[in-house]
Amino acid sequence: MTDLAQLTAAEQATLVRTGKASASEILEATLSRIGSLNEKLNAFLTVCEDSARDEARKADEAVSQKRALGPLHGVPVAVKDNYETQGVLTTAGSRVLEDHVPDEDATIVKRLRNAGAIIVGKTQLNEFAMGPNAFGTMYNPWNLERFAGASSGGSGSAVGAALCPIAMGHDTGGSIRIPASFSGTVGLKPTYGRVSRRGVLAADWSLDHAGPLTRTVEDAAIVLNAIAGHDPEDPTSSKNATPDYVRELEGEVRGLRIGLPEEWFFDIVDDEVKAAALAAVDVLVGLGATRHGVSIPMVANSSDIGYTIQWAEMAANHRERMERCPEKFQPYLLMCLQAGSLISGADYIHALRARRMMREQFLQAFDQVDVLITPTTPNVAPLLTSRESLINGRPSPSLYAYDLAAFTFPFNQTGMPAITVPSGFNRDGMPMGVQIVGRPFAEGTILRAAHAYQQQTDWHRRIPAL
Amino acid sequence: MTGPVELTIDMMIAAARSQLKLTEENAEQLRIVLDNHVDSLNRLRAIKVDGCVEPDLVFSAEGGHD
Repeated sequence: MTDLAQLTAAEQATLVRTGKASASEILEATLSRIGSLNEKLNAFLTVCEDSARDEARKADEAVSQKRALGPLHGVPVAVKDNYETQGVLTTAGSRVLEDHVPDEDATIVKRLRNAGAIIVGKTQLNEFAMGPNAFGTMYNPWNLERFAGASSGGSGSAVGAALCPIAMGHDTGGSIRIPASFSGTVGLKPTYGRVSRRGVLAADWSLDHAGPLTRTVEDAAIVLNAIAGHDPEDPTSSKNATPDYVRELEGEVRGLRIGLPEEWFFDIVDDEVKAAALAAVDVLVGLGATRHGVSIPMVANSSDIGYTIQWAEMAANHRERMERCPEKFQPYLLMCLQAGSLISGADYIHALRARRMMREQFLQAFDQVDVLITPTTPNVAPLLTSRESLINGRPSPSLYAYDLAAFTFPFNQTGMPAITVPSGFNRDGMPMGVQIVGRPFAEGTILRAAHAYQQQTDWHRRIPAL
Repeated sequence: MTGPVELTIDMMIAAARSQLKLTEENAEQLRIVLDNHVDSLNRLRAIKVDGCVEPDLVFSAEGGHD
């Protein structure tokens, strides 16, 4: 019999809605799987067993009373531990917040609950989504000796290991898409402003995005339907109308214009990862899409622009905490924050101006094409013991410490929506990902392309043996 | 370039080793990160920005205020 915990969110919600399984049965299967595997993976910091059981019981009552049910009714959902959750410890992965119990849910958590989701627990992350792990290493479900990805590594590990079908993440430079790619799952970073960030503890104000990790594109669309839309309590939240993203999946990709960037994204990349991304393009071309080269020269500056903005914003964000309780930070992060505080106002403003120029180049590219397709990361998940980044077995020419984010970070800076979907497994059995990017607020387009690709492949159906 | 940032990095690493009890290996990792950071800042400063380009002081994906 199929383990209820290993079903997709759409499948679980259908079982609950049709009475073929109860929310409580699905939750118990989920708690059992978490209980048996979390010690290996360190994916969850907190498991909300009691409150989740209470929520599941209420969900089952709603079914029996034939009340209106939301699209995620009875589906267990995990949220990254920098999402505020009422009455539940929210550490942001740091000992600085080891006693922080919020009075209120983040807007996203409220909206997930309104859609019927059951919050099953809080997932691990790097300290404040940037530093080392304050609460232990997160492990990749496909190989426990490899990196789970950062910073939503707990969410990637949880969904990749099918502990639950949905885990919410948070993406400042690739922190949804990198762990999703490394764990063989789908990761969606919506447009900046598409989803409220109220109650999601900030890393960097102008780079942070919140979104889901799932195993299917369909589940990502269901989650986006639930969480998208203006939030008057978030000043960065957009008032743009939100379409029905699940309905958007139904469209064809015939005539879709795919842009392949001529710079950066295919230059320093592992051969197998590159081949898998190009093979994904071939699949979409086979469905009637067309392929075009596009030039975005300034993307080669994206790391220098992005890290200047990131370090300056994170130093400002944590200044009060750095002064009040420096001993509670991991020393490495504290040093990075102090270094960020040395960035001058002039350099920060220069980076913002350069970012605007780079975004204009991306927007010009989107005059010619509907989506961009790139590998999600330069390589698969590295070994936890590796000290340097290897590309095709040789040290990467980039010494920048964060070069795993080289292909994801540009879209935090431009705010454009991006999704990663599994594109295969390499010779070591590690998952690879392909990234599809759209113009601002074109989530429907990238979801449609990603869904069409996923319908032609079965990478997402594989679950690691643990 | 040798300037206040580089000098401060030297002082920070020395302070980190004594006050935060960073191991020599961690201090070396930190120096690599900070040296890269300085290189990155220098490359950023070399980017030519047209005079008319204004910074997005309030960022939105559409550019300027939403």
